[in-house]
Amino acid sequence: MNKEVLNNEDKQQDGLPGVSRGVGGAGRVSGLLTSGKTKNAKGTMFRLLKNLASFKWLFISAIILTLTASLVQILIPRKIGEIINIFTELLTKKTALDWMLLGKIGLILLVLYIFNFFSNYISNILMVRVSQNVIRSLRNQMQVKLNNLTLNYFDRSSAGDMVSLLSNDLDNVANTLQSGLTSSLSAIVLLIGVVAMMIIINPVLAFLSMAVIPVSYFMVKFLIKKAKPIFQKNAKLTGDFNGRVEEAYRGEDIVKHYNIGGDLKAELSSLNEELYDSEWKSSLVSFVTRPAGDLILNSNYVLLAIWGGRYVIKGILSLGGFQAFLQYTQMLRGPFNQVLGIFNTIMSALASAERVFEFLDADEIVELGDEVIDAESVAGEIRFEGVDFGYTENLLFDGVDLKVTPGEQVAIVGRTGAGKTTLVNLLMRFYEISGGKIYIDGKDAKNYRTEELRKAYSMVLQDTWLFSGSIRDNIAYGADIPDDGDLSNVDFESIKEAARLARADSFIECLPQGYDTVLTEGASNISQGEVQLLTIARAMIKKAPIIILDEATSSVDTRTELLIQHGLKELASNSTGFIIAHRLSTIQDADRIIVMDSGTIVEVGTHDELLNKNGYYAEMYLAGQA
Amino acid sequence: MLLRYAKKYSKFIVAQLFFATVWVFAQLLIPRLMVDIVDFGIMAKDMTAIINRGLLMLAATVLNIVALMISLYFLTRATAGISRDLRADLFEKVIDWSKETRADFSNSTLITRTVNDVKQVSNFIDLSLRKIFTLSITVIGALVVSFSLDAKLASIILIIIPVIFLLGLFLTTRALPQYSRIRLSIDRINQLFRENIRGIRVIRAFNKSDYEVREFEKATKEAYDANIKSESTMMLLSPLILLFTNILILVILFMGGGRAEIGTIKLGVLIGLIEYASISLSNIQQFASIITIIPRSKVSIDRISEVLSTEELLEIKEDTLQSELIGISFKDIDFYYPGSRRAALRNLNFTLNKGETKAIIGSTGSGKSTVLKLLLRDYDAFHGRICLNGRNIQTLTREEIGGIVTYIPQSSFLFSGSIRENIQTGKKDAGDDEIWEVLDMVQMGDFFRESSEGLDTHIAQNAVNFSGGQKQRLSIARGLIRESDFYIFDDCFSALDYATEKKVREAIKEKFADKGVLVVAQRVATVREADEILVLERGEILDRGSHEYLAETSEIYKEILASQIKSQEGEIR
Repeated sequence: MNKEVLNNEDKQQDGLPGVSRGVGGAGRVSGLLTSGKTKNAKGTMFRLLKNLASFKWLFISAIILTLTASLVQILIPRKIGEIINIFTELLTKKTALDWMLLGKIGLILLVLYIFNFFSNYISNILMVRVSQNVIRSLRNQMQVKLNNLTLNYFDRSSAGDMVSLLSNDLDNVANTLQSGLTSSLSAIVLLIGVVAMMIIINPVLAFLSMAVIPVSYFMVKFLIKKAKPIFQKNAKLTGDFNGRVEEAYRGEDIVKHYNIGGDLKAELSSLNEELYDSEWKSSLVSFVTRPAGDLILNSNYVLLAIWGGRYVIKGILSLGGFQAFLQYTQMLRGPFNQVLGIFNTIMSALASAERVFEFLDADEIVELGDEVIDAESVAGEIRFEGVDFGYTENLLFDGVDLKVTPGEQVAIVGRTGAGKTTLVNLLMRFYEISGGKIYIDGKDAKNYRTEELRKAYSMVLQDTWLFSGSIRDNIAYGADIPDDGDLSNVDFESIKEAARLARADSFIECLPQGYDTVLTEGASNISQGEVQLLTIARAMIKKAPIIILDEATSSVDTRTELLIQHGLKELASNSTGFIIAHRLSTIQDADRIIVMDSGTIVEVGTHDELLNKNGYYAEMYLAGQA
Repeated sequence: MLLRYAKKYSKFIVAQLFFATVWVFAQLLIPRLMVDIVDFGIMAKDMTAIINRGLLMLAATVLNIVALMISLYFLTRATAGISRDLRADLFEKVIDWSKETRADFSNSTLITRTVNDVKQVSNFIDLSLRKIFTLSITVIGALVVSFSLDAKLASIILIIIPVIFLLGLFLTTRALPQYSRIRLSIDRINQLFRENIRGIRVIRAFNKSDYEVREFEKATKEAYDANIKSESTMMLLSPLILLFTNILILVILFMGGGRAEIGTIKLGVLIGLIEYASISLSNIQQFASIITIIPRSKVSIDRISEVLSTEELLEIKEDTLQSELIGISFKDIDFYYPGSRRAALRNLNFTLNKGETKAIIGSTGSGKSTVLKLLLRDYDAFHGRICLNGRNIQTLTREEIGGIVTYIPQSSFLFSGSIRENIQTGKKDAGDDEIWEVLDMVQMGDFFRESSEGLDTHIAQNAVNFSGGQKQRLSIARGLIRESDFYIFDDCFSALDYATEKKVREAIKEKFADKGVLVVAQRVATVREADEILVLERGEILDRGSHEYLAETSEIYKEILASQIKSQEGEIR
């Protein structure tokens, strides 16, 4: 009977309906190819099982149901064989049909069928629940983790790798849990059970049909080995082509105005030709392993038909037994193909799980204090006392001292890498200092919970990040929102006011959808200067006693910049301010300018004082370089 | 739309379908031979009949495999061919589009359409040719053979097939809306996670970690619900069809039993019918689950057609007026961005002649870049006329415009490849001497002379191995090497320090003394030496004149100057 074969084939090739797996069968073969490397398979497995703990009864029931379903499945051909035997006797010995016996077997079969149906269905549903729960919980754990990681982790890791953990590795674990695990399990049980049944029916025939297994196994293995370079080449060409297309699209200005469209098209065409060539070859190869395995199994089937037929004629085997045997041979094929891939599937899922766990084990921020802050009563006095800090082993800050009085506007200047951003990073406690103390209003900042401390600051970062969402929500993001509220809780008037103070209102109102304009990911639909205006508005809506502007207006013209500074004064005339700027013109009116070089404060004073001093600042200023 | 593309490969497709039919035929022949082995061999105790049929079966097996391989060969050729043609048509079209035409598509969606959607369509073609076709003829074939074996029992199979098919269709269509829900929620999950990584500092600065976790949990819950809902339905399909198949077999056996008693059916036929019944039903099941891919493919097909059916909006008009004038002129230009209510440019008039340097200064969003977009015909003006060298810009081809004007953009996009290749995008046959010359002009010559790889230095994708200022200078060099009458600098000195900028500007001034230069900038230092400076504010030229004149008379210019004056002093010394 072909149904088992086809069922399994379907599952393997096309995955769960709705889950794309590349070109048809290619998914299966490349699945076999991507064997993962695990450092500690046992530990990872154990930990994965621990994640299952809260659903252990669901999980165990699913496993038991799968096992019984497989056992029932093994019994069915045997029972049908019995019916065939009744008919054989009826035809050869011309006896009357024993309807009672037939009815009895039929009833047993019906019960088995219904049992099989329910146990299959229920175990499937249970497994879906288990795996979806585990995956949801792992996803949430990852997001929580992300928000608890130290920033050093982000400095070291690529965003792409982290996203890939979530989108590829977790998916791999989920798929294996949901379908891989139970179907592998049932494949093994079927395999063992079927072999046992075949031996019971006829050991010689059983041995014959087993003989083909190693042959088939090595053949598939051999083909996969041969196929590997073809797949790799295809993957590389796909990457090359995609990269080039991306560049051709993103570089549209140059492509069009320098008339290189023609050359580029020619280049893409030849890449496209190559890709075509490798694409059809690699998908052909991915299909070939299946027919090759089938050829062996099918010839085996034919051989058994002849040999078995001989046994029946000789009277060694009943016709029912013969028919059951052939059914078992067919049943073997699906699980057999699956068992071939089980090891790789499980190992690759474990490797994925291991990577996810590694992420979940990364260093977290350590909370040192637990005091709360009343942001409104903070005067804004800041003091650094012998602060040591380094991103690596080497200290960048070695005993930095600094005192800022409430309401003072402090500018920080210096060359790239001088430690300007580091200074504000430490104020915001993005990183922990390794020595010395930072005081806020005379109190050691470490005594506060990190979140509380940050309530005292309103910051515009150098990194102009906006999320994909409406302009309105992006500005509202700066405001405090209740614990279970969302951005729509923020008053629209205060959003508009912040936009006005940041001089963002005029461009926003010019947009066809105004404040409801949806920013795409990376805010590519507005200009860089406009992005900066929005990040300033976002900071302005948060009314904090200390304001930090880190290269906040680098893409904004100087006149608008001046207007924004007026806006800031209007908003919070008595706030303490830290301003880092690329253009020296931006900071000339600051109360004090702090000049930094390789982590040390080299000069302090007003613009005029520093110019008269004719030191580092004056030199930098005259070179027009900051 | 797909049919048009498939046409080119009709030979491959016909061959594929032919061999797939042979494959199905051989596949169905095997159980039929088994029927004969049982009836004429085993029951008749005739060993030679068994062996003869067995050999035929072996032949059928080989034929089966060979036909499958050949059909797969044609299939992969056709599928890969259609994706190649789709990709080619897409990029050929997109590369030629003007900005105005392209306005509705972001770069990322265009890339997705050229790469992922084509892949999806190719999956669809693969499945329809490989699966849907063979599944259908297998079912039909199995039915035909069944009827030839025993019409009465076969009709039971015929009755149950539509039932199963409808059942499968019902379950699948019920699960379908959940699939798009799953996809959307997974996209959302990935997007939130990606954004959270990118914005981690901002999120922490504003204490929004809890909010981000809450938003994320909403998305994972959505994915969970959709998955449970769809899978609870879809997981029913396979066991249910198995149940139907088994019951059908039981029915056939019982009816067969009755017939065997009165001797009107042979055992082999009975076994054969059971086999064909299960073949038909399992094929129907696969059919039902494959249908799920169709709506998804349709989305992709629609997205591709949308690109392919978008025609260039800016057509090249017939040449009507021509004069010998060499220069650029804007006359009474009004411009609105598509969908915008406010004029981006209003009543704009200016000319630029060879040997002149003019500059446009203004705030962020004043319309400076828009002027250049019209000058390059990224967009067409709403009203008024733009002439390049005496010819209406609307009558010029893209190549002609590029020959007259060299544009150096604000964003310094570089291609991956060597420095030489990048500079040569400006001038295809530029020799190393010329390349060194322009690199020296942008003060990058020594930098590369000192590097071991010189002009072969590799630029990575997105030029991540160069700083903002270096990228900008390379982008300028690439423009300087071009030969044209006019050069346009779109705020492209912004990442340079004053000293370097000054040197670069001096080098440009020297080389292009007899060319027309248009500079767009925010810095006064960049524009002060221009013959005429246009002060742009909210799309209108408010004031125009020399630096000295504007410094006396223009309010806005004075404000700009005031915001920069001290650094000016610093620069002038």
